[in-house]
Amino acid sequence: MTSFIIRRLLVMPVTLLGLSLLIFSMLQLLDPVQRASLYISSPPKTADALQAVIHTYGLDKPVWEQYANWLGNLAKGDLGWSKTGQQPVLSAIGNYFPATLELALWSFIPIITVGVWLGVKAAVNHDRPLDQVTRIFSIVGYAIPTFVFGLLMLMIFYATLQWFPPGRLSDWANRVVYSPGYHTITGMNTIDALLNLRLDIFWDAVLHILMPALTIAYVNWALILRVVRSSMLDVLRAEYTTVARAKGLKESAVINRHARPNAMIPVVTIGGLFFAGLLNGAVISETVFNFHGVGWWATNAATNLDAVSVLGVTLFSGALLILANLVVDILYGFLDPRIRLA
Amino acid sequence: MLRSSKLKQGYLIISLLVILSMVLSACGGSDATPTTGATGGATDATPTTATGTTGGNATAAPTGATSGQTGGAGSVKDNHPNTIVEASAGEPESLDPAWAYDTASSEIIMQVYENLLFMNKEKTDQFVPMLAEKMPDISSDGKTYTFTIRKGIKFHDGKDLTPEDVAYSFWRGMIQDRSGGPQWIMLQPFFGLDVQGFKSDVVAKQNSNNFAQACEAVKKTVTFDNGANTVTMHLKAPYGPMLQILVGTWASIVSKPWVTAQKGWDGNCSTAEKFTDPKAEQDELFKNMNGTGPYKFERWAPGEEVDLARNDSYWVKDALWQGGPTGPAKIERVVIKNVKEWGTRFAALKAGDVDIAQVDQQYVTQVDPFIKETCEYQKDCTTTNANGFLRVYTKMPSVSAGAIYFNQAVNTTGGNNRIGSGKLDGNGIPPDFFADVHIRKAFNYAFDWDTFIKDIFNGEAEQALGPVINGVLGYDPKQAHYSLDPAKAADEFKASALKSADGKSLWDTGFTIQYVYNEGNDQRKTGGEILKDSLSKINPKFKIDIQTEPWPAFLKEQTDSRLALFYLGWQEDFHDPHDWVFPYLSSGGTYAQAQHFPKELQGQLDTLITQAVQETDKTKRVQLYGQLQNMTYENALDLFTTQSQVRQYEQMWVNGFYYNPIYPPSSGAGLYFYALSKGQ
Amino acid sequence: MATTTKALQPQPQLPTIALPKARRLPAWLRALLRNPLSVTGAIIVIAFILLALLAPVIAPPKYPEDPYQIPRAGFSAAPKPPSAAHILGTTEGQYDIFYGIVWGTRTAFKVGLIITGLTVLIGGTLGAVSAYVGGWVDEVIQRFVEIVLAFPYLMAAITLQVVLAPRLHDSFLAAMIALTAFSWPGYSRLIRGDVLSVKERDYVLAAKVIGAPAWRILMRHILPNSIYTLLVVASLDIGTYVLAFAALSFLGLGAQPGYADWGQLLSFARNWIPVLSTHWYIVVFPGFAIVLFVLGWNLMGDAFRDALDPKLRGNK
Repeated sequence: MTSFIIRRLLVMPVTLLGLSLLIFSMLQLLDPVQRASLYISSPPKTADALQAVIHTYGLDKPVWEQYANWLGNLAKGDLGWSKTGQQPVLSAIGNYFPATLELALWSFIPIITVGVWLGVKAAVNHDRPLDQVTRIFSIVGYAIPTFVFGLLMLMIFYATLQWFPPGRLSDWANRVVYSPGYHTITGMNTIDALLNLRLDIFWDAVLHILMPALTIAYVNWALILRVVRSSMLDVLRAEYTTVARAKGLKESAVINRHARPNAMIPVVTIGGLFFAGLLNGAVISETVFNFHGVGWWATNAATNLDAVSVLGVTLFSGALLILANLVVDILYGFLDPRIRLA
Repeated sequence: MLRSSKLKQGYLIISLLVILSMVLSACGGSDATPTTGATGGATDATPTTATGTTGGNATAAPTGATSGQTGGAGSVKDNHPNTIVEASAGEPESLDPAWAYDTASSEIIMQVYENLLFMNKEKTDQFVPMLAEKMPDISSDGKTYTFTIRKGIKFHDGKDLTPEDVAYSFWRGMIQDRSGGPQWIMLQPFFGLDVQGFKSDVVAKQNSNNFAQACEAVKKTVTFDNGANTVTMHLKAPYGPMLQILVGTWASIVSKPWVTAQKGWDGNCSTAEKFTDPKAEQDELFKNMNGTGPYKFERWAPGEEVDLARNDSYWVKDALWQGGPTGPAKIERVVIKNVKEWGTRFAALKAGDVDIAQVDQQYVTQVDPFIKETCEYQKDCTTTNANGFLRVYTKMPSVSAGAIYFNQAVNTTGGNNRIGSGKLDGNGIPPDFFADVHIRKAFNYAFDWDTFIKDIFNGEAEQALGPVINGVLGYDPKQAHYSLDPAKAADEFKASALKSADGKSLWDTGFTIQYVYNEGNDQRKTGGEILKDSLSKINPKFKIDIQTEPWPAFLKEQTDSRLALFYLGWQEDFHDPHDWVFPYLSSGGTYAQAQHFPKELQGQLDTLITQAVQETDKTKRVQLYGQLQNMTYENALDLFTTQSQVRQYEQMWVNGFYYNPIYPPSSGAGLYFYALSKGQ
Repeated sequence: MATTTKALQPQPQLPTIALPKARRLPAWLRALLRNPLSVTGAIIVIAFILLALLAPVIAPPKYPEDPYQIPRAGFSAAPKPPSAAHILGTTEGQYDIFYGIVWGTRTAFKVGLIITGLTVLIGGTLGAVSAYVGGWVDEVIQRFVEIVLAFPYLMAAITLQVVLAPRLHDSFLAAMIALTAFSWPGYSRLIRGDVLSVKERDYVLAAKVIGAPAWRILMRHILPNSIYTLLVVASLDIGTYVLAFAALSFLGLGAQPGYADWGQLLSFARNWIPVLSTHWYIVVFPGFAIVLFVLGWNLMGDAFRDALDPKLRGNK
C-alpha cells in the first residue's frame, strides 16, 4: 500500500512536467507578435513598440530557453506573473481557489445526500414509478448543458423573480468584507461570514452561491443517481444479499446493513472525480454566473493568451486531479476488501 | 416484459412532459411580464423616432418600469452615503503614472497624482495652474517653458513637494520609457518628432549607445532651481501641443525621496540603466501610490476593485477654477470596481449598490426604463420618467473615432488570400488596387453613414469628417466629406483605369476583397456588412468577404501590411490635432505606415504635419490642419466612419458631474471625483 | 474526469463486452425496437437529420454562397420577440433565431460527426497499437495518455483553440481540432483494454500458430472484435461533442457571431441576462434545440446500454 502511494506520488511530477511541455509546445504555434498581443490591447502608437514589447518579455528567445527560464523559476517556487490576474500566479490561485472550493462544497452536499438517497430509493423501487421518475430526471438532466441550465436559472430566478443575483457578494457586503474589522480566514465567504459572526454577510453569500451550486448539483445528480442506482441494483442481486435474505433478515435491514454500504463504493469514485474535475465544471458555471473563482480566471487567461497563467492553473489542476485519483484509489483499498493495491 | 414496456411508455410520456413543462415554465415566466419590457419600448418604437432611445422611451418607459423588473423605482436607496462606487469594466495595468497608458489606470492616477497644470473644468483648451503657481512663462522662440512651483504642498506621506520632485518626475518617465508605453509623448518635444523611444533613439542614435550620457541629456531638458522655486523645460523646437501633453497622467508629479525609498531610481545617471523599460510588475510604483491629490491610494484587489480614501489635508484652498471645489473632498471614499459581466453591473446599479456604472452602447435599451432624468450634452436636464431612478447624460462627443483603411500596396510575400486571386479577375484584387484614387473615392461614396449611426449607435455618434475630430482644434464642421451616393460611386468605379488581364474594365470584371475586423467587435463587423450590401447593389460583381481575426492575428497582419481593407479605431492620447493627423497621415504613424501612400503625397503630408505641430500660433495651426484635412479628402485616403458619443449613468443622488472629454474615460465619461458629491 | 460538465468529457460507459459475434446484432436490435425510449431517441435524432437535410427548404438562405451566415433583419442590438416574419424572434444584432436553429442542426451534425470520426481514428489507432505492440511503445503511449488526461478537458480545449485560431485563420476549425485533440484518450484506453483481452483469445492464438502476419492478425481478427464496442460508444458520444463545441462557442471561441450554431446563438444571451424575463426567446429556443438533440442521443444510448448489458438483460 505504502509503496503504491509512493510510486504514484513519484510519477506525479513526471506527468506534470510532461503537461507543462505539452502546453509549452502548444504555445509555440503562435509567433511572437501574436503572443505579445497580451501586452498590447490597442494598436501600438509607435512603430517599434511591438518589437520592444516582444523583446522585453523575451518572446523572441528560443523555445527551450523560454522553457528553461520558466522551469528555473518554478524550482524557486515562482510560477510567474499573471497578466490577466495582475498578480503572481500563485497568489491568484490562492485568491481564486477558495471561491471554487466553496462552490464545490456547496454543490457537493446536495449532490451526495440527495443523489445517494434518491439512487438507493430508485434501486429499491426498481421499475416502480419512483424509479421511473428519477430515471427521467437523470436522463433529462444529463442532456442539459451547464450553460443552458445556468441561463435558464438566471432567467427564472434572477431576471424574473429577482431572488438570486449573479456574482459572489453584493457590493454592500463587499464593503464590509474589505473593511478592517473583518477577518478573511478561509477566503470562502459563507464560512468566513460565520466565523466573523456576520449573519447578514452569510445570507448574502448564500443567496449568491445557490444558483451556481444548484446548477452544478443538478447536472451532477444525473450522473450520481445513475451510478448509485445501478450499483445498488447489482448489490441487491448479489449472492451475499440473497444469503442475507435467506437468513430471514428484514428487507430494510438487508438494504441498510448489507446492500447500501457496498453500493457506496462507486460513490467514492464519483466524489473523487467530482473534486478532481472541479476546475472543468467551474469553467462554464463560474463564467455564466460571474462567480470569480479559478475557472472564471482561467477562462479569462486562456482567451487572452496569458500563457503563464494557463500553465500555472493547468499544473495546479493537474496536480489536483492526480491527487484526487490517488485518494480514490486508496479509499477503494479500504472499502473493498477485494481490491488490493500493490 | 409486457408490464415493463407499458411502464416505459408511461415514463416516456412523463419525460416528454418534463421537457414540455420546462419550456412552458420558461415562457410562462415571461408572460407574467408584459412584453413592453426594457427593450420593447425602444425597439418597437416607430422608425420616425430617429434619435431612438430618448424619444422612444418617453412613452414606453413607464410600462417597462412598472413591469416588475425591480422592486420598484422608489425602493432604491443609497446605502453608502460616504462612499462613491463606480462599476466599470477594465483592470488597471499599473498604478505608476509614468508606466500606465490605459484608461482604467489613468482614471485612478488622476485622483491621486497631480500635474503642473490642469484643465479648466470642462474646457479642453484652457488650462489652470495646479502644482504650478501660475501659467508658465514661455520664451519668445517658444522653446523654453518656466514654471514656478506652488509652495506648501505635501505628498500623502507628509513630505513637501519641491521643484526637484517635479523635474525628477519628468526624467524618471522619459528614462523609464517602457515599451508600448506613453513616454514617447514626452520624449518628442524634447528630442525630436521622429523619436520613438528612449533606448532606440535617445540612447542608441543620439548618444551612441552611452546610457549615462543619454540620461544626462534628459536631465538637461528639464532643469530645476530649488532656490528660485522654478522648473524649466527646454524644448528642441517649438511644440504646439506642449500644454496639452502636460495635463496627461504620464506627466504626473511623484516624490523623489519616496520613489527612492521604494527601491526606485535615485536620480543618479550612473544607476539609471536598470530602471529603463521595466515590466509592469517589476516597476516599484506598480501597486504603490503617493501623490498630492485629493484622494490617497488605499488598496488594489486585482480583478476586483481599487479603493481610494480622502486626503484630509488636501492643499486646494482657492478653487482651481471658478466655482470649483476647495478643501478636502466631499466624499470620504472612492471605490472603482472592475465588473466585466454586464449582468452583474446592471444588477448592482439597479440595487443602488453602485453610484456610477458603465453601460455599453448595445445595452442602453435595457437601462432606459429606469431613467428618471436625461441630460443631453449642452442642454438642460429633463425628467423623462417620474418612476425612474437614474440620471443619464447623453450625446457627449468622445475622443475616439473609427475608420476603414485602404492599403495601397498590400504585402503579398508568401501569398496573401486577403486579396483573393491577387489579380483583377473578379475573384480578387491586385495588390495596388487601392492605389487608384477613383476606387478609394468610390468606396467612400458607397458607405451608408446614416444606417451605421442609426442602427449601431442608436443615433449617438456623428460622421467623422476627416482625421481631426469634433472638439479638437482645427475641426471644421463644414469640412468637405463624403456621403452615400451610389451613382457617384458607380461613376468613380467606371473611371478607374484598372484593367483585367484580358483588357476588360473594373466595372465589367468586378472584384472580391476580404474586409477584416478584430474578433468580437460587432460594430466593425456591421460596418463591413453595410459596405458589402451597398457595393453589391451598385454592381453585383463587387464582392466583399467579411472576415474576422482574433486580436493577435489581426495585429500581426495589420502591422505587416497584409490587410487590404480593415476597420480600426483610434483613441487620442492628448487633445490636439497633431495626435490625430500623425497616426492617420504621417509616414511614422501607426496606420499610415502600413498603408503606403504615394511617396510624393507622403512627403507633402509629413512636411505639413511637422510645420503644424511646431507652429505656436493657433490660427495658423488651424489653417494648416485644414489643409491636411482637405488633402485627405481629395485623395480619399481613408474611409472615416464615426466619432462616437458617450453616455454617463449615475444614481440621482450623485451631484457635480460635468463632461471633460480629456479625463480618462473608464465607465463612460471620465470622472474627477474631487468635484463630485452625494445627496438628493 | 469531469463530473460537473459530465457531458463534456466522453465517458465510455459500456462495459468491455465481447459477445459472440453471431446472433448478437438481431438480439439487441430487437430489444431496442421494443424499447419505446430508444425509439423516441431515434425519432428525435431522425427528426434532426431531416431538419438538417431539409434546411435549405425550411429556411432558404439569404446568401446561398454562405448559407451558414444567419441573415440579419437590421443591425440594432436589442433582441425582438417572435413575430410573423421571425417566428422565433431575433437575437442581439437581429440575427434570426429560427434560421440559426435550423442551419445550426447542420453545424451540430457536422461538428459531431467529424469530431467523433477523428477521435475514434486517433484513439483507436493509438490504443490498438499500444496494446498489440506492447513494450516501450505501450509505455510511451500510456504515459502520454496520462498527461493528456491530467489536462482539464475544457481548459485544454480552450487553450488549444485560442492558440490555433490565429494560425488557421478559422476559429471554427480550431475549435473542432482542439476538442478532437483532447477527446481521444478515453477511446484509446477502451480499445487497448479490448485488444488486450482479445489478443489472448483462442482464435488469435490459433492464427499466430498458423503463422499469420501481425498486421493481418490485428486487422482481421483483433480489430473487428474490439472496434465494435468503440464504435457504439463513440457514436453515442456525438451528442457530447456537440455539447462541448456549443460550450466553446458559448464562450466565444468556436463559431463566430452570425454563424448558424446553437452555442453561438446562446452566447448572445450572456449580454441580456438582467432582462431575460423579457427576452426569454433568445435562451429558450436555442437551448431547447441543444437539449433535445442531446436527449435524443442519450435516450438511444441509455437503451443501448440496457440492451447490451448482459446482467441487466437477464433480469428483466
